[in-house]
Amino acid sequence: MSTVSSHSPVAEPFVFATAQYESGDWDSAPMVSANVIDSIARYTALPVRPQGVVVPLASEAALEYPLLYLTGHLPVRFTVTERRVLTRYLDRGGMLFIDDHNHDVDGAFHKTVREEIRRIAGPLLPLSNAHELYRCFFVFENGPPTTSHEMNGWGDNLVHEQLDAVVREGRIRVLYSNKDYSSEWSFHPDNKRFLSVDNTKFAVNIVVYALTR
Amino acid sequence: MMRTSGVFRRRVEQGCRTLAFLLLAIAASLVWGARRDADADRRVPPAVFAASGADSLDMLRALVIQSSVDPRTIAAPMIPKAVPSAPIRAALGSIQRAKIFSRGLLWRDGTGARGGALSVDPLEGPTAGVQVRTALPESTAFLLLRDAGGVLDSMAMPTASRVQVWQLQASSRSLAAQWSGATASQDLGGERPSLANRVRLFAAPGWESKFVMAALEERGWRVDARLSVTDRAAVTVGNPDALDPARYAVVIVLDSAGIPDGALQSFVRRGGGVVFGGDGVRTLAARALTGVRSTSRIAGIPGGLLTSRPRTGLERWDVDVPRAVRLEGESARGAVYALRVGQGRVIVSAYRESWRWRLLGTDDGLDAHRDWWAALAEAALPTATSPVAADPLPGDAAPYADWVAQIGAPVETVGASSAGPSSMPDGSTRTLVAWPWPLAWLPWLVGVAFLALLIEWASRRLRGEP
Repeated sequence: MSTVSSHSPVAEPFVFATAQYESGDWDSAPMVSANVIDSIARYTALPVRPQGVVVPLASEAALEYPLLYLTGHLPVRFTVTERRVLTRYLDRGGMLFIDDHNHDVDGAFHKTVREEIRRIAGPLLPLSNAHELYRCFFVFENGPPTTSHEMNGWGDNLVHEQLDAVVREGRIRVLYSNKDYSSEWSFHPDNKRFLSVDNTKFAVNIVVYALTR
Repeated sequence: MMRTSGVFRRRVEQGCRTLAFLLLAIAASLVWGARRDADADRRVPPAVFAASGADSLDMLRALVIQSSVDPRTIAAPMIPKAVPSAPIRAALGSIQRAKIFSRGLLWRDGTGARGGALSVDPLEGPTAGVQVRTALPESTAFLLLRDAGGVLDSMAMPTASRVQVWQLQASSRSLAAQWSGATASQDLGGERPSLANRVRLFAAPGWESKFVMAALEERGWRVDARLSVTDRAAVTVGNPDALDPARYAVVIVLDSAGIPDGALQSFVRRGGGVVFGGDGVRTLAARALTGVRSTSRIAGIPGGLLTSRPRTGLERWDVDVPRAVRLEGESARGAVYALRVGQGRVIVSAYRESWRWRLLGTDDGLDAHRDWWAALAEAALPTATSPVAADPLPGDAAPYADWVAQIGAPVETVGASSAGPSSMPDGSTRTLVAWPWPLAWLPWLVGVAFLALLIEWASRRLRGEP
């Protein structure tokens, strides 16, 4: 038994974790992590670690991060170990946020990752735009904010009105987006000053929801 | 023939005179008797008692002592200024039913209470609210609705409608309506009062607060919390209320975020339960309530979460709680303590970041974490110090009606004699008896005597006699 001397209450900082999986390109949006962390520090008083972490889904270490971000363009096929860890992660209350970097409902990532989630956690169903996710910090009256990539003809050329989710016991376990927030949020945080409206505010809601529900 | 007729007429006149004098004599004797009774009543002034409780008990004692000396003195009506409490009503009802006094217990209504009705029905749905209906007499100006936690609503009654219907949230299973000196209450029943599984959480947003809430909710507790995300913005979980043992069974403190000054101490001393967990043991509130001292953190044993003693894998504060009972911990300083403060109970759990047990523990970790937090909350639950009989005094739902049922209708309503009959809660009319029974014949006696004298006088004058 070792003793850690400390006399001040230690606030446990939030750590933004990106899920690493063996198939596909898990690291296709490397700036998202820094940008989300910047927004949390900018808009909230939540303690946050300045650097995010990358966690292999095949490792039990994933269970130390109750919110995981997963993205990619390419087909996803989880390994047996990744499926086992992810099943355990979701059963125990972890929340997985998946964003389709293609924003293409005919894309390989969309089809394969949804199939994987269906096998692990059940089907993804549309999440009501009145869900508290859209009101827990910033208010998004019309549900998930539209991305510029939905408007510019890239991908499936659709504006997706809703996100999908797997909900258990009243809590979102898997949040799935076709809106390509990975492209929308993947820029250096310093460049926010050039935006009239910060498009990463919805990321704050996801983190606040994960920390409070 | 004329002479025979004249004799008969004089005999009739004589008979009328005799009847009149006889009736007047009877009337005089009744008046004399009533006056004697009135003198007796005046010797014992009406028993006026102000309210329920000790005053009423004293008055009951005085009545019983007096009546045992001279049972006639009980003829003086009592004038309660409020509907007596249930024990007093029951005691007086027993005296009445035992027919100890020939005239029974009489009372004048000085309560100012007016009949009305209250009905409370639980609403289906996640809000767990109630629908309340009241039907009140026209004279009602103001209505107050309470539950065990205090005033829920109050309203000035509009003159147009005496029936009100509204929906609201009540924490306790018993509601009472008060108006014009009267009270009606209704118990919603149910096997478990809703407050018995309501928890208030004080914590900052984080994995510990999230998974403590989840564990408790998954074990059937209702958790209310306000988790501050910034100085001015917070995420509200449930429907947080002011701290009150009537609204919350247990308060859980995981850190210093949002603890109201002094309210926690008051909550515990009035019978609430508090769990200080993790960094909550370092708060000023914990120190003020329990005297807990925490000096340093003790790291968990690596891999401990995967053993048969998973809490050894959790980091914890090195705490000492003087005068507390140690519930867990093998070293000189324990990890979980319990102590009684005032009427409430406080649990101190030194384990930090228990959510790791849920996520990183063995296959049983999820359920074990839920059970652990449910057990901590239950350990802090206030318990009754003596068994409480189920509804020993059923008349409390409608005290005025019970009072009338016990000893009968009042002989008079004080201050309302001239207002005529007044409506009772059941719609019947209250009869105001002004005189004792024999004097009720007095007008008839005098009237018949006067009629007899009139006939005698008319007959005599028609005969030409003076």
